[in-house]
Formats: sequence, structure tokens, C-alpha cells
Amino acid sequence: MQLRRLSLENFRQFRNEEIEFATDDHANVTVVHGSNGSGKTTLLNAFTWLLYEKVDFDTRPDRLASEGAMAEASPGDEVTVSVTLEFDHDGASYRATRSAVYEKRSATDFDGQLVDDPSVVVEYDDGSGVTRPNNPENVLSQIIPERLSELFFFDGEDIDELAGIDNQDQIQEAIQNIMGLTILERATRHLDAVAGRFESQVQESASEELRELIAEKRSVEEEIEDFERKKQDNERAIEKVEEEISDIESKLATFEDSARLQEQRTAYQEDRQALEEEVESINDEIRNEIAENGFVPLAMPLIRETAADIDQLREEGVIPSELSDEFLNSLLEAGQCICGRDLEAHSDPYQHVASLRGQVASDGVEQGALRIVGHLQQFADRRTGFFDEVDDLIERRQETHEQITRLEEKIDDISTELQELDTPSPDGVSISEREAQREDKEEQKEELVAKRGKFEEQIETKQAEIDRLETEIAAQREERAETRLAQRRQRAAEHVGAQLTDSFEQLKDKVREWSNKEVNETFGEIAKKELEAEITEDFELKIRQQVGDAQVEVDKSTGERQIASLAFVGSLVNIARRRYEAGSDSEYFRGGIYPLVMDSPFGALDKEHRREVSRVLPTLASQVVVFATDSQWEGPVADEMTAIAGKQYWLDFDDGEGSGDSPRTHIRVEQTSAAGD
Amino acid sequence: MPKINIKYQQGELYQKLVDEYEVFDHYYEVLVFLAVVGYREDRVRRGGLTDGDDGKTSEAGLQNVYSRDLFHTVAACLAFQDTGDPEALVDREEHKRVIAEYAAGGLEFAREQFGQNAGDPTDAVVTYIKSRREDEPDGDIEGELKRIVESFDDEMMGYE
Repeated sequence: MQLRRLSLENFRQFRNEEIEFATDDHANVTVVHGSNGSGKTTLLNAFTWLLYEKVDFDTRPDRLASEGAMAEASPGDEVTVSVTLEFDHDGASYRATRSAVYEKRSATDFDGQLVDDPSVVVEYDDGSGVTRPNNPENVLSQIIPERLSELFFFDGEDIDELAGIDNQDQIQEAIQNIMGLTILERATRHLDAVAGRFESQVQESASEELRELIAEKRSVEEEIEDFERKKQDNERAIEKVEEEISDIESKLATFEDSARLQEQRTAYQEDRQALEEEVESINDEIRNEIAENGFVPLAMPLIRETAADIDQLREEGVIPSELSDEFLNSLLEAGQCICGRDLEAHSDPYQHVASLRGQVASDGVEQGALRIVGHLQQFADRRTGFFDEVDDLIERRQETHEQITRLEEKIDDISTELQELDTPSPDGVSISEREAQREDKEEQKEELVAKRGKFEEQIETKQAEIDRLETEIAAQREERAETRLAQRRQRAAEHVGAQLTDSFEQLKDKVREWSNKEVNETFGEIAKKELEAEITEDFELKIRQQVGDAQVEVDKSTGERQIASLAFVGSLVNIARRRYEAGSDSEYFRGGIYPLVMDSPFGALDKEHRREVSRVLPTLASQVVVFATDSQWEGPVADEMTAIAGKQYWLDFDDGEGSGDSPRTHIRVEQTSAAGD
Repeated sequence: MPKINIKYQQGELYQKLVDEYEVFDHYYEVLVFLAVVGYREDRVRRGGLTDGDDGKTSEAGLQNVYSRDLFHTVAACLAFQDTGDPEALVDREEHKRVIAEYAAGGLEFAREQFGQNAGDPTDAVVTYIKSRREDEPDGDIEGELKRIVESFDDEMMGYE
């Protein structure tokens, strides 16, 4: 940033004044002479108001508008306050103007009422024409961040604070600021937020729930295994009973008295099995019928409604239609209808034919409708067919069931007959006893089969539970996968944050070392030879004295502290400039060209130190602006600086008391009167 | 012709009707059947998803539906009735949409009607279909459809 011109309009006691800054490499100092109260601090404030809308006035801080301008205005008039700064930066020329409008509310109102909030306009020209960015505040803040501005626009009377006792924070902050701390802060803040978000995802992790689900699933699986075992035992029992029944029946078939009945029974049983298979095959046919045509009866309302709608379309002549829009258009263009009638534009016949357009269905729709009509009969037939077929099948099934019942009755009858035969069999067990045993076994078998059904049902229920649990577990696992991802991301975010901080810290330490070296040299040039200034590893600006072999920290006078502080500020400006000129591509510290704008920087210095400061500071910064009283200026400062003061101005303050006017300061390029203290 | 897939809600009922008891041979048959049930029972799920606990979705090719003439007809009729627009009769995207939406509604109804009972659902399905028979006397339907078909025939033959 190289300052070109500062223009003031109705800004405090400045009505319409401007300062052009010295830009010559060999005469880079601009001196503004002014007595106390003439407006030096106001000029410093003009910079901060323009750049950041910040002012720091000791007197009447709310009054920004020129008292004189307000006095001259009539109630209801508006007074515009503005500050314009022209400067060069990064190869472009800038013009930034902040303005505020005040309205005078009454004859005695000298403060004015702010009409619009102050707004800033920035224009720049980098050779490709004037650009007016939408975000002027950001543009200015990027060129010279507010925190940095405190380093370069400063009141010399406060500067010694840097070298005060508890100054580490300020020194560190100054170094961080010039390095462009905002980038790190923003990155760190974002990374923290990101890591936090991932962490809360991790905390919301449902791992506890997942463990419970898996445990539950395992326990259900064990129950299923248990049922499976019972079912297997049950099946073995059924097989055993069936074998026993079969054994008994074989024996019964060998005895003369029971052989005929047993053979009959076996035949009936075979018949029954065939009938049961028949039932199953009927069921298959019913299923087939459902799959093939089950939807047809249910679809009838849909089909009928659609058929009626299509019929309506037919009645309206929409389908089937030989008329197409294309055909109608050709008639309209030809001006004659197919019936021979003239079709004059806007005539009734014309309108009628035209209105037919869009009513006819497209070919696809017509085909679609006709396809439906073509299948209507099939729907009607199949609907009837379905009911006929299913009714028939159900009837057949019913009959088969009845046959089965009749066979079972016959089988029961045989059993009853057998139980009435007391004939002892050759092995000593009577036929009736044997049949009774068989009946017992049949009952056992029935019970076992019923039990098997229950086991199967239980297994099915448990299996459904497993399915449900597996779905939940899969969902949880997916969440867990997200959790693990979140954890990795959290760690990555923390890692990046740590890396950023670390590399920033390293760079900061390097800057501290550079600054330390600079400060030492600068301080050495200015201060008494036996004193040395240093920026310690703890970022303290210390002044030490060589006593024999040892370095002793000494109590510093205000003047010495001021020198150390100026040396420090100067070192930063110098480092930033060198960094900028070296074309650093570091993320943090690109450096930059910054002017030093100092109000009364020589206040506490004795003559000799003033001389040294005056000599050294202009070598550190590319541009120096000094506000000084005559007494600060005269003597060694003037000796050193006059030659390099490219521009000099005098603040000519008129308190207005003599003429009854309002206080006002003119900025003059020549000294008209002594600027006293 | 690009392949169009119908994304539909597939409940346990699908497995029960196809895999377990083989009432239907293919999932797309169940899909069309349930779409018809949905329309019949005035149950439609816009977006095609039900609230059921079995939120599994699957896909069926629209080509499968078209492979059977009457299925194709059902799809066209559903789309037409749903939109009121004759163009929907031949709009594949509409066919795809209405099948999924009515099948989801039909699935909900069918779950209530015959999905709850354990065991073979065949008879429950038959009972349900037969229960809807009384709503439409056989003669009426045949007569009306016949009349419409004849009207078209006459017109196509140029009798009107």
C-alpha cells in the first residue's frame, strides 16, 4: 500500500482539505506540522474512519460533521462528511471514499442527525479499467487488516507500551497479525467445528445398542437350535411310531383271521393317500388359476370404467378418427373444407374446423384405446372362466375331501372289527390287543405330528424375529460404518489443525528471530551502545545492558522503551516488505508494503534519540507519515528529515473565536504561522 | 427401447405368495395383482411406499408386465383412470408409476386381508376374490362390455 492522497470533506474541523503524500524513494517522508489541538489526531482518525469506520477522539467523539458546515446549514439541510484515500496497491490504483450524511434538525443543532449509515465505495484500476467491487469493506480489510493497522497507524505517545513489562501478548499479537493470523484462526476455527461435529457423531454411535442386538439375535438363534433339536427328536419319534405301526400291520397281515381286514385297510390307506395328493393337485390348479386370472375379476371395475370412458371418446369423435391436426391445418391453409365450404379466416366455419384441432387423439393414444377395446371381450370371458374354473375346482376338492372322510370311516371300521377279534395269535398276543396297540401308536403319532407342527410354527416365528434383528443390526452396522468414518475424519481434522498450528508456530518463531535481529540492529543504531534490545523466545521485548561478561536486563526509561518499540514496529514493516518483495508464496505470510503513519513519535525522546529515530525509521518503511509539533520537529529531527521530507504540510487552526466563526483547520503547504506546542 | 424398471415396495407377502406357497410364479404377477387390488379397494400409496415394517423395495421390468396382454391393458387403464388423460394410455412412465403406487396400496390391503394368517394363503385369496364377485352381476358386465365392443366394431366397419 502506497499512500497517494487523502481528501477530507466536512470531517471534524476540516472543511475541504487534502494531503498528497510523498512517494519518492529518496524522499519518502510526509510531515504534517501542527500544534496540539490543531487536528493531527483527527488526521490519524480520518484513516481509521475511512478504512474501518473507527474513530477515537478525546473530545466530542460523536461529532463527525464539521461544526462550521453544520452552522452554515439551515434546519433540514443535509451535510455530507467524507474521507477519500487514494493509494496504490499490488499494481493497481485505488480510490476509497467513505461518506456519511447528516441532517441539521434545528437552528441550534451542530451535531446533526445521521441520515444514512456511513458507507464506503472502493474503485480500483489495475490497467483494465475501473472496477467497483461489491464488497469494498472486505477489499480494504484484505489490503490492510484492522489489527495490522494498529501497528502502522499509531499514536507515538502510546508506542512505548510495547516495551512495557507485560508486553509479550502485544508483541506476539503484532507478529501474528503481520503474518496474517486470520487465515490460521479461520482454518483452526473451521477445523475445530468440523472435528466437533464428527466427534458428536461418534458419541451418538449406537455401538451399545448394536451389542445388545447381536446378543439378542444370538439368544434367538439358540432358541431356534433348541426347537430344531426338539423337532428332530420328534421326527425320529414319528418314524419310530410309524415303524411300530407298520410292524403291527405286517403281523396282522400274516394272521389268517386278520389278514383280509389288514389288506383292506392298506388298500383304503393307499386310496386315501391318492385322494390327498388329488387335493394337493386341485390346490395347484387353483393357484394356477389365481396366477393366471385372479386379477381379472378384481380388475373389472377398472376395465369397465375405462371402457366407458373410451366409449365416450368414441362418441365425441376423438377416436377412432381419420382427422389429424395436420389434415385440419391443410384444410385451413387451403381455405376450403372437405364439404366444399369456404374457410375464410375468422369466419364461423373456419373457427369450427380450427376448434377440432387438438381434440383428435394422437396415433399412439388411439392404438392404445383400441387395444383396450380389443381385450374387453377377453376380460369378460376370463372373468367368467375364472369363477367357473375355481368353483369347479373347489367343488372337486370338496368331493375329494368327502371321499377321504368316507375312507377314514372305513379304516376306523376295520380297526373296530379287528379289536373285536379275540383270536390269539401264534405269539400269544391277541389280534384285538395288537390292534389296540396299533391304535395307541396312531394316537401317539398324531400327537407327535401335532407337536411337530407347533415346533415348525415356533421356528418360523423365531426366524421372523431373526430377520427383524438382522435388519436392525445391518442398519446399526451401517451407522457404525458412518461412526468409524466420522472418527477417522475427526482425527484427520484434528491432525490437520495440529499441523497448521505447528507450522504457524514455527513460522512465527522464525519471524520472531528475524524481528529480533532487526530490532537489535535498529536499536543498536539508535540507542546507547552498551544497550541491546531483543525479542525473547517468550516474545518479550527486552532491553539488556552488557555488564562485564553478563547481560543484565535494565530498567528502561520511557524514551528507551519508545525506541525499542519503534524499532520493533519498524522491523515488522521491514520484514513484511522484504517478504513481499521476495514473492513469498507462504499460506500465512505473504508480506506487504505498509506505510508508517505516526502521530508525535518523538514525544519522550531526548534530542539525540530523536535524531537517530528520524534517521533510521524512514529506512525501514517504504513510506513514512509523521505528525509533529514544531518543538518535536525542530533541531535534530528537522536536520535528519527535511532532506527526505518529500511533502510538508502545516495545520492552520482557527478557533474562530475572533471572527465568531466555527473552529476550522486549513491544511497549507507553506508555513504561515508558528505551530506551537 | 430402453428398459424401464418399476421400483416397488416388496413386503413379506411377496415371498409368501411366490417362494413359500407358490400361489404365483413370479413377483411381477403379484405386483400387477396387488395393483389391481389397490385400485379395486381405492387404496393408493403416492410415491409407492407403504408404512409397513418390511420396507424392502425391489424392481421389476415393465417389459414383464407388457409380456401379458391383459397385464398391459391393466397398466394402461390404471394410468388413464389415475390421470384422466387419454395420453396416459400409452405413457410408459405413467404405467410404471401407477403400478408401483397402486400395488403399494394393494399390498397394505392384502396384508390386512390375507397376509396375517400363518399357513397356505391360497384359499384366503380365492375367498377374497369371490367376495368381490357379488358387487357386479355377471350379466351386467358382459352386456356392457359387449355393447362397447360392438359400438367400436360398427364404427370401424363404417356402419354409423
